[in-house]
Formats: sequence, structure tokens, C-alpha cells
Amino acid sequence: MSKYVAWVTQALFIISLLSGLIVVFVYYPSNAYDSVQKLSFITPFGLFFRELHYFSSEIFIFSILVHILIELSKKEIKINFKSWIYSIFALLVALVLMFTGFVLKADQSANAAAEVAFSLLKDTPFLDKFLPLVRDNFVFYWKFFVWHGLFLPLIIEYAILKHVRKLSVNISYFTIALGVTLLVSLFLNLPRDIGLDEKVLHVKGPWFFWGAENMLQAGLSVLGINVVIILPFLLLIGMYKSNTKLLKILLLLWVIIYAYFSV
Amino acid sequence: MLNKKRRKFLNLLPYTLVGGFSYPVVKFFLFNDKPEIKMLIPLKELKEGITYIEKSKIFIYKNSQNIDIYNAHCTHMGCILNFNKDTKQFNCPCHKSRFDIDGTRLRGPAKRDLDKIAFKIKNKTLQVG
Repeated sequence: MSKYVAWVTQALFIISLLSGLIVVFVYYPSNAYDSVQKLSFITPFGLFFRELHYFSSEIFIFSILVHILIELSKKEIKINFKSWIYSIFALLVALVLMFTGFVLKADQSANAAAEVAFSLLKDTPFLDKFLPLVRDNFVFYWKFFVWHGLFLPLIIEYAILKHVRKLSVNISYFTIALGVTLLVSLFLNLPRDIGLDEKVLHVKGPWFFWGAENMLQAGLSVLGINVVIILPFLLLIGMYKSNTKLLKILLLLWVIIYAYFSV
Repeated sequence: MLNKKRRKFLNLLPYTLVGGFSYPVVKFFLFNDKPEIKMLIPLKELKEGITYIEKSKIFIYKNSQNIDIYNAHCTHMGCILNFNKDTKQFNCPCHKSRFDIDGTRLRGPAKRDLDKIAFKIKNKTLQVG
């Protein structure tokens, strides 16, 4: 079962990569919001490729999670430790890719998400040194664009290659992945872009950040948020050496608490 | 002799190329001077109440006696604030902090008042920065 999910996950990654390669041609970081709107409403097939990129990436994240959950449900994790670490790392990079992708849509919620990320980095000891890696004071979305379009795809490709040893496309799984993505994009809509001049009472970041956002609103410190974010990754790493009930319960507790804060 | 020199040069070439190409990458990521906010606004162009300057992300508050300039970023997590004309308050759309029109914090999670920005008035012109 885990193998089949892995094949679909790889296919989803390739669909996301290829659709991203198409939308990048109409994206201008210096005029980000307008270029996204142009892509969605003027460029022929622009919305189709934007939806394909968005939904394949979302399903990619879900399939990584399912893939990891299947491995955890087994009595012992059968892959080697390095391969396990690379899969956890790939999940982390995939989430950062999703976050940078969310920011690149450049609407009000994207802008707010970027500002919150800057503040989190700025107020975290040691990580504050890395702020210039993402914040560009001249073209706001420029560094997000470079990370999302170049460095992060290279890093995740490296992690996936180290995890599976060979990145290959099985045409059957590719067809399944493409079919599922198209089906989902038929029934679901992209989250609405909030215009830069719109007066809104509340803006939200990407769905996997809602829990952290609500914890921030409840008054949790930046250090606390960092612990909340890093904890599941540490638990997943720890599960390789001792796939004990205690760690599984802790992870489940984390999921329940985070889900509670997310809604 | 010439061969040796050429070989030495060729051996150094890859390092030079790597160094040359990595310079813009390192500069791009690590050095980013923050542009100072510098603006000149004729006083007569300023309306009473709140004016938002999108480019510099600042709010200018002018009333009959006074002018104040605030950073439009929330002091909690940096989101851009909205000004509500009805309640005369600044609202944070991210985590719902609130600030009064004079920048005083009304409701958390923000812990401090809005940051004020220094300015001068010279020749009937507001000089920011």
C-alpha cells in the first residue's frame, strides 16, 4: 500500500513541478498581485494551470502525510534511518514550498502571512540571522519567488532522490494523480484572492498555519510557536529508533490540539 | 615554463569562476540595506484624520493641533493594520489587536503601542526621515 501511495506522491510532485514551470512565465515579483490576476483571468488556460499547480501541491502534501502514516502504522519502520530522515525533511520542505507559494499569490492574506513569517524569524534567536534570506526590502516578493521557483524545488528533489534513490514516472500512477487533481479542481475552488484595497476584518494564512496563527492570537509567545512547529518533526524522527506507543500518543495529542486551534 | 604558468592559471580558473558566480548569490541573500523612509508632503495636501501612505506603510494622523506618524505594521506580528473610520481605531486583520487613533494599544495580543516615526515640518512641508 505504502509503495502505491509513494508512486502517486512522486507523480503529484512532477505535476506540481511542470504546472509551476508554466505559471512562472507570467509571474512578475515586482508586480506580483497584478500578474496573478492576469494569469487567472486573462492568460488563456492560466486559471487551469494555476488550479493544477495549487491542487496537485495540496494533494502532494496529503499523500506525503498518508505515506508517513502508513509507515507508522507498521510494527517497525522498514526503510533505513537516512531514508526516514530524508522523508521527514521532504515533508518540511514541502510545507515551506506551500507557504512560499501561498505568499506568492501576493494578495492581502499572502502579505500578512509573509509579515508574520518575518516576525517569527526576527524574534527567534539564531534564526533571526536568516531573515535577509527571505526579506527583500526593494521587491517584496522577489526572494520568495527565488526560493519557491528555484532553491526549494532543488532541495526537495534532492531529499526525494535520497529517499527513493530514483525519481521515475510510472505512467499509470501519473494518470491516476492527474485524474485526481483534475477531479478535485473541478469540485473545489481556489481560495479567494483578497484584493489589496479591500477592507477585510480578518485574513488567514495557509491552512496548515491556522493553528499557529490562533495560538499567536491567544497570546502564545514566538518561542512557544517554534516549539509547537518543530515538535511533530522531532517526534517523527524519534519514532524511527523507538516506534513506541508513547511517541504515537504524543503525536496524536499534538494533532488533536493543533486541529482544535485550527478550527 | 609557459606550460606551467598556463596550467597554474587553468587550475585557478574554476575557483575564480565559482567565486565570481557566488558573489551575486551571497550578496543577494545576505546583504540587503533597508531603504530609509524619505518623503516630502506639503501640509496643505494632508487632510484632517488618517492618511495611509501605501508605499512607505505609514499612517499620518492630522488633527487641528497636531500631526503624528505611525508605522502601519502591528507591533505584535507585523501585519498591516486597517483603519476603521467609524470606530476611529486601527485593527489588525491577523490576530485582532486594536489601537486607538493616537496609537495607544487597546487590545492584545500586541503588547505595545504603535511605533511612531520621526518627522519635521519645514517650509510648510512634512519631512519624513
